[in-house]
Amino acid sequence: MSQPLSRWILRLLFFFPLCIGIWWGLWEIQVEGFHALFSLWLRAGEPSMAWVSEVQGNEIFYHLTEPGKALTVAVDPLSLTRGIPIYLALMGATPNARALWQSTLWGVLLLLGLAFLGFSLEAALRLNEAVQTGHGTPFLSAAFVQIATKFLVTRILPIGLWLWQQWDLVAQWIGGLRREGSSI
Amino acid sequence: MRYRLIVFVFLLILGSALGSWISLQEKVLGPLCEFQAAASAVVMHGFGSSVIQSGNQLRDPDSQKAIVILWACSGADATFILFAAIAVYPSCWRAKLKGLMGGFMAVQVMNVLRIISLYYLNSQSEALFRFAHLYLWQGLLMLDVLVFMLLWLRWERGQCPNP
Repeated sequence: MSQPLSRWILRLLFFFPLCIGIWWGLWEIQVEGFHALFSLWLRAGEPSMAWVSEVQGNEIFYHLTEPGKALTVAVDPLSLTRGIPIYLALMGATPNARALWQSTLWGVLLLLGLAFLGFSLEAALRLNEAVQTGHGTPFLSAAFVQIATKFLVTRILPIGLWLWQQWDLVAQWIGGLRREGSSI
Repeated sequence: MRYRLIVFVFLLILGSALGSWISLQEKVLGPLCEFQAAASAVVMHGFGSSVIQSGNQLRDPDSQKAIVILWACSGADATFILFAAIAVYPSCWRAKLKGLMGGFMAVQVMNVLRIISLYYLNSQSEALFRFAHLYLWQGLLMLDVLVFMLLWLRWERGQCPNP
């Protein structure tokens, strides 16, 4: 195994617990932030919908209060921001990490923005389905959105973003990548 | 390169769609979850645990606390991402086949470790269990996939004939 690659793996073993600890330490800020932003959007976008919201632990509950209906949907913002510590750990473990602080910051903001977008989409779909059907349980469309956005925002993008930013470095570690058109 | 990225993205979308297909969850992922429960039980018995395995459930006979391994906890999503990445990379089929087999084992071993740790955490603290289950292990599995992929990329350079 190349030395730079093995050193990076060892640094990753240190940085990931550190980053997830910091991320977890900020859970309240994340939840309250998502709660405030989405409530603003909901009030502006759906003025006729009667609802109240509350935060319990790390979940946000939206209670629909239309006459004759008592429905609740719950969304967990942390399930969408959990890709951020992965990305931070990857960047932190990379050599010369301090010089990368600006690109790291942009990456975190991008992941946070996409996490909020995914959260809003899932919450809006669940609320819409609850109002239309009278059930508080998600249907396939909200479930598919949940799976797809979590897949993308918490698994693919943190790693994809790091690879895109550190492509040349990674190629050096593994001795170069095969080029397109190689006959194998 | 661009078309390989497009194929990769397409495979990921396909994976998301397949993952929400109930029939696949029951017929393929269900048995995988039971296998992982059985493997976890074998390992724990080897260290003197009295855990009882029943299908995809692991139960502590003393506290009666149990965990159930559902399809979302089978590591199938991480495995699928790795398979898609290896499949689209321009390499010889022998190296790809070994990569797929090795990658599957790497994810399964990590997932068994996850199941065992969650079993014990469930007996100790619900808050710790929830944190490890929902957030910590998800990240560790993805990093496992990335590290394996990088190691495979380095290894396969010496395996396939140059054009």
